[in-house]
Amino acid sequence: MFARSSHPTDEEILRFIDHELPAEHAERLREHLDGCCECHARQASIKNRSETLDDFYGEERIETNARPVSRIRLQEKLVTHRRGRSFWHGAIAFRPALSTATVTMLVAIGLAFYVIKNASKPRPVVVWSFSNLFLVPNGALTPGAVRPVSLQEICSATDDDLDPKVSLATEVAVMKEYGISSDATTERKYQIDYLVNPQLGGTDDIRNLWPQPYSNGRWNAHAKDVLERHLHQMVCNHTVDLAEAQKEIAGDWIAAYRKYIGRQG
Amino acid sequence: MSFFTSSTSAAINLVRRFPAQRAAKDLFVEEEVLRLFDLMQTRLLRYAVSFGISVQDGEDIVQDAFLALFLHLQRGRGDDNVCGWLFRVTHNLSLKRRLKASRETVGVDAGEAEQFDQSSNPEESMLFSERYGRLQLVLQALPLKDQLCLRLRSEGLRYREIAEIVGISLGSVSASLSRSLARLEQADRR
Repeated sequence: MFARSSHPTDEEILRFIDHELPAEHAERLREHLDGCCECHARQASIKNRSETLDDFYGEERIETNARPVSRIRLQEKLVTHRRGRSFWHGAIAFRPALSTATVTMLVAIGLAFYVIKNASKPRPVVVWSFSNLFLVPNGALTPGAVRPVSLQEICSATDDDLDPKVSLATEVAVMKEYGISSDATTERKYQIDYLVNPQLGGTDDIRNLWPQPYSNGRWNAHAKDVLERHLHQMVCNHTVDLAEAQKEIAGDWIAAYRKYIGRQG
Repeated sequence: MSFFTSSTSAAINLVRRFPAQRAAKDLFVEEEVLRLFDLMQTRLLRYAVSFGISVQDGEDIVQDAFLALFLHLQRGRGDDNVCGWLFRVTHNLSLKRRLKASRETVGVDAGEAEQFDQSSNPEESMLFSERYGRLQLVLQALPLKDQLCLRLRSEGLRYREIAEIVGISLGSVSASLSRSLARLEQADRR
């Protein structure tokens, strides 16, 4: 498709850089870029411009002195909503002034409505919707756990499996801890991921495991795998200290990705 | 009658247990929402402010977006992509706020350039302007939708997500990005 006489457009090159081309199309374009100096230069130029733009947006400053206040304000609003809801539940269900007959009648109507509404359809698997939020693990549940290892041991290891399979019991325990139905894994929505991957000294301790979504846009399990390989390489090249790499990936892997890989990944 | 009685008592038992379980879930949702707020509030604030509204209004919008997320999750509704969902809500709220501001005040867009960097120290402002002055001008001259596409791409969102947020087709996102980058290149050559 991309013979030398028919060069890809800038839009196609951009979509290639952003991994937005279908696989087959991308492969053909890659072959063309490898053999066409002109298009290769175009690719470098577009990439460079795009990175300048990323830097520009990254350095934009907004006065966020009010940040703790904003968080406190939000927390207050959330608490108000939560309490408001609890109040109404408490008021309706347990107010002694309401007669037993009234409560019984309300419950019966509710039950009848529920049965009619749900009788004809299969019961869905309940997956807590906020489980999709696990872009980074909950620090309280998954602070990360590492074993004492030497650099030589890490860099000479031939096993490159970033996420060795954990036992089913551990998998279920991790999912339960995060309030997710373990059926979600069978739908390939999550993988039980190592916060600090074994190649950087991470262990299969439950404190080092969390359910990472495959989806969630850019910050998914695949992106983290890219970071893990990159950091391992940097540690073995002595570009980054092992302890530092462990700390960064356990602290906020998305920030580490931005720091070490940026948009190149 | 016996069925009615046993069902009712079971339901009452359920109702009695329910508030406690719900409270625990709500607390959990609240913690998750706050955690996500810490992660994303700056990104969303930047996005809101890029509509030309004040930082204070932007902060209100981000607060409202997270409150909406809390209610959304509390009602048991999920979304495969919370990040995209938050940007979408922030986008819609920012558009509304922008519209309201433009009705109330004439020439509100004139302040767009000052929305960023307004409170950093003069030295930092100067360094930023030196490095990115021309880029900033070219970006400001782009149509708002093109600016938003560039910004969302820079946030790491996929084209499909950008299309949903901005309300344009996938092809338009791709064309917009390519067109905008070409404009930046042309400006560089001048």
